[in-house]
Amino acid sequence: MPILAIARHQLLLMERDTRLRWLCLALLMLAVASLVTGAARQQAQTAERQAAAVTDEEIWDALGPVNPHGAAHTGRNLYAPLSPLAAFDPGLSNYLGISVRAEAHTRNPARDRPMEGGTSITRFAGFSPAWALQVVVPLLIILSGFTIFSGERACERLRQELGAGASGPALMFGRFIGLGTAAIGLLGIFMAAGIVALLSIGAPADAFLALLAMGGGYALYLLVHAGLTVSISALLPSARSALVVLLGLWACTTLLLPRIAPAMAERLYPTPSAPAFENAVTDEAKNGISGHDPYDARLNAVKADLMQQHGVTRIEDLPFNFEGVALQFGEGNTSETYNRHYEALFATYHRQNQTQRLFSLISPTLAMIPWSRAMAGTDVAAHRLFLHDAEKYRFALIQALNDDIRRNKPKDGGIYRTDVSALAEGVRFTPRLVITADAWRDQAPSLAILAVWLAACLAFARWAATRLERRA
Amino acid sequence: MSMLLPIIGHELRRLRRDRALPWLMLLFMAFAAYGAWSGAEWAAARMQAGQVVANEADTIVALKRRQLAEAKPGANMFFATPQVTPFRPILSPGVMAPLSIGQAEAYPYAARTQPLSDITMFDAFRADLDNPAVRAAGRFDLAFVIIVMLPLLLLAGSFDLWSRERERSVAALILSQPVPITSLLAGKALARALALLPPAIIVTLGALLLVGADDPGGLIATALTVGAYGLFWILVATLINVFAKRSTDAALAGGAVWLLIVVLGPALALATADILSPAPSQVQFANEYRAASLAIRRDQRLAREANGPEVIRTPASNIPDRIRVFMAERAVEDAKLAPMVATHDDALARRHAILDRLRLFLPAVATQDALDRIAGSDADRALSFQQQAMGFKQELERWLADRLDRDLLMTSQDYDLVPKFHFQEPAAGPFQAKMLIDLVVLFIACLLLGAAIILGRSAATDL
Amino acid sequence: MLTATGLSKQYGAHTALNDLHLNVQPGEIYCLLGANGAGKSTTIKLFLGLLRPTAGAAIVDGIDVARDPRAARGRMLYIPEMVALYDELTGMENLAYFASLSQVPDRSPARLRQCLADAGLQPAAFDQRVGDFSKGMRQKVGIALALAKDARALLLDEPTSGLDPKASAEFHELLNRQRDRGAAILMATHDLFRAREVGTSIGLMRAGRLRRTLTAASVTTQDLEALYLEEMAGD
Repeated sequence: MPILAIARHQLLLMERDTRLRWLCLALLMLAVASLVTGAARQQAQTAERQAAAVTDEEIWDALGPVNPHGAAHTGRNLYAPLSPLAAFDPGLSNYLGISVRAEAHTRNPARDRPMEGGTSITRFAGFSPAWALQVVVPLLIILSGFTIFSGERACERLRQELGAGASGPALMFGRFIGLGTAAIGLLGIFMAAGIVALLSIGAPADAFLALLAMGGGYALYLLVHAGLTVSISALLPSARSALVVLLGLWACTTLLLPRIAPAMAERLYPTPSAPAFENAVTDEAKNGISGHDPYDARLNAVKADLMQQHGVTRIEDLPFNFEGVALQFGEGNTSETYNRHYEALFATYHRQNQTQRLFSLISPTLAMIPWSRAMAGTDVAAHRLFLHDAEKYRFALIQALNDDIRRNKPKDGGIYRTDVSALAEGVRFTPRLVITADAWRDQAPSLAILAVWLAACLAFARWAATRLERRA
Repeated sequence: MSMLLPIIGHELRRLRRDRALPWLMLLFMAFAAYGAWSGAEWAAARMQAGQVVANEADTIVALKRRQLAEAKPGANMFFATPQVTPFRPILSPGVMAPLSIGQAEAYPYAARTQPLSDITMFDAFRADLDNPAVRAAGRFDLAFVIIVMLPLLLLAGSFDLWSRERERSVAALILSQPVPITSLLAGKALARALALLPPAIIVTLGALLLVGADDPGGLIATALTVGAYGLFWILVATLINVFAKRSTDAALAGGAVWLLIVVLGPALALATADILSPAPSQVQFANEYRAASLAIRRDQRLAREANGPEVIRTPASNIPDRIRVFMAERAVEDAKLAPMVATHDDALARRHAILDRLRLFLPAVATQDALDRIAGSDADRALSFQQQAMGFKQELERWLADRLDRDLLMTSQDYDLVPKFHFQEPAAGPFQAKMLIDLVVLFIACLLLGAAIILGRSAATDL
Repeated sequence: MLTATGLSKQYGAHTALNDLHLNVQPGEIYCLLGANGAGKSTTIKLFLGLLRPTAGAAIVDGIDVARDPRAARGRMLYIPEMVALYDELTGMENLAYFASLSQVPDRSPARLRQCLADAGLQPAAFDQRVGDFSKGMRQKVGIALALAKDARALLLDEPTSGLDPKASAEFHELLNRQRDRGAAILMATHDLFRAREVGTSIGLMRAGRLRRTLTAASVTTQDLEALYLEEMAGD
């Protein structure tokens, strides 16, 4: 098999290149360092959130006998669960709030984003094993492969190789396999480090599955770069121009487009500012979706309905505390309004992400990033799951408190107080992590796009191979 | 030194013939224009968000005015009690904001407050709803173009300033002339500085002017920063050329140094700082503050209840006495919580000092810092806003105390006379001390590179 | 004009040049013959001050090159096998640049054109980009520089290898003219025939040593070839 012999030869050449060996070693050290720092940080964050949840529980338990609606205003703080793979690919986690304040009348957005409160250096944050695989390893592939067919020495060698009877495609795919094998080998070391990190924190089996799926995506992504590198090297006889073209492509696809695409997407589908969002919700809760359906009128209709049902003419004569009913009705109203607005907001995020996916047709990095984040559980979908669980808990808690008010009519105009801690006992906050299968379904198009990229690169390489023979 | 001028002239002539450079400059121009535009868009959106918040106060006051106008004589006028007057301190972006979004998104830019609010008045502005993917990707503002792209432009224009001659054996002919290698390298570096930096500065300033960022001091400071950072990169290219004998080696070294200085160095320094000296936990502090506050308020309520039901004086005052009690209780609470807040603030300040010091060793970070400060999007300005808003709250407390003493309900025209929040710029404009330190950092980095070039000069004559 | 006294260059354990003594007078063409690695190029680089001698001295017009390379370079011109110029500049622009590096007092276009013409370059080529120049044309630009700076010594490293016979003959004619105006010329070459034709003296080098010095007029080409082969065969 001449192809395999050529591939072995390519691997041998790269192994002998001391410069390359040092670069790989430096990269691995950086990746391991970032994985270790990431894992340490993750441990600290997990401890921080657990401690905060405990404190919040204590605060709630220490409230003692209080008015349930007062307690609903005191509220509870809910903390986002950390995905075990966040140290491998932090994704959006530094830019998403980690806590949600669950209180009456409002569905708060998540707060306490880890990137808050920094200084100018904070803009440079973001080195992680995932970033190394997305940006630095492609650069390494380019550096180790741009002279495969270009440059004077390679041209001389090419003539001899073709003269010795090798065909252009055999040379092309042999070199591709050699370069690709080296890239996959490097990826293997990253994956092994990831497995060790997962084992050390006792991660569930699903996390290993996610890491494997993530690794599959990276394998496609790195092979795309290996294919591009050998093809361009075959097309451009001058080493200098091959390097310039490859570096230009690299800078555009891994550095520029990933910044421009989200900004463009946001421009196409703008998101409201937080105050504008809040004011819109408040306005709609008060005046109805149509703007001509005032809340007071709706509440009065409920009141009239209830009085008619119970055959009473005075609100005080109802067998329950109407204030509780009003609170329940109000909470239902605001919650529904908030949910509608949040759904619209998430739909906007979704459209933005779809737009970004379009850009992945010109930059494989833009297909790689969402796939990696989804598998790591550090994307918007994972955050949304937390927000959803938090809202479910909030609504259940507040309505339980309101229901208690409804059931307990205060005597002679006094203030009703009760032990809310016991009341909230039945309502528990159990946040879930995204299941890998769900993430897979959600992001399958990204993986498909990567596969299409690889197929296109191989076709490109095949075409470049014919030029290779003509060039010699 | 007499050698320098012909060398510079010759190099400039060569650069003029370089066909790639105009295209690269055009590309830089396009990126700079896009960066400035997106920065300006951001500033406009922030301005608008601030306006929405400011309007909230106007809406509430308008409602109160209507209630005042419609109130029947002798009606309960609780809505007109002064402690529920709304205030909205806002931090507006500065004139030069399109230059850099910097840390402006990492701090609250407004507060919803009443005279008796507490530190949670900023909470609503700690949350944003824009797609987090945009922030995670990093903003494509002019600062990004300057810090990340400009070095690439400069390296592209100068990565082979001597290695090319060495590779093509012109170097032997040049070195066999009576010209010292230092003059040669200096001439080449200066020619590139002259050919590349003024256009880059003009493009940057032009982009800023185009989007209306026209503060003269800010523009001069920007020009100085871009010039110093650009010079740093040309010296980096020169130093690489002292050692690299082949252009591809020089290109690889340039790329590696770029990756190290612009990306990896700062990221790793930050990761190390995060582990050695982590930021004080915001959630832990918020919880402790809340727990302490609730405990104080419970004790206060119990004490109040032990005193029996509220006594209404006759004739009844305009403002119920329980408001005065409430205010006194809040003062006690604030005083009790002050040490806890101070401890947290100190921890934050220590952390800031550490992060701030890191930039002394990282030229890219120093440049970012300088641009942030010129743009007014630096952490110090945002923190100063928080302090000033807290100070304003104290002014409101004094104002409230006075009205409570005099038992004065609000009238329609009183709302025009309430204290107003005016943000005082914390530093002396673009040329503030810390920005000058950034420039000094860049200057020292240039000096060190210059020294390294001179010390290593004999390597440049090694063919 | 060009004098080497005990000139030696050592790279670690390897001796590139060993105790070279030689003297090239004005109006003399000294040809160094030897196989690759004999030390010819090392000698030239030592005279140019591109290498520092391990022992001995290279002296140009009374100036120790190692002490004051700049002053020495002001009196010399170096022409390598392939005169490498800036391809994107014209012949005139290249000459002007190198003349300015050499601080030639009169760098007026008229004078530089005269030098190019004297070096035998066709006037049509003066303002053409050097990228299109043949090897011979490039060497003419080199000679023009020697004329412009009025170099008293010329150091040539394999100047005619790869030139066609006509160009080679032209080049040696140019060299003779340089010699006639009193320049001292040191030329490393493989070309026995030309060395005997144009050379005044001939040195045979092997393994870093100057084995034998001959007067060109005293030997025939056949003698020279026999001697060369005898020397190269070694002990």
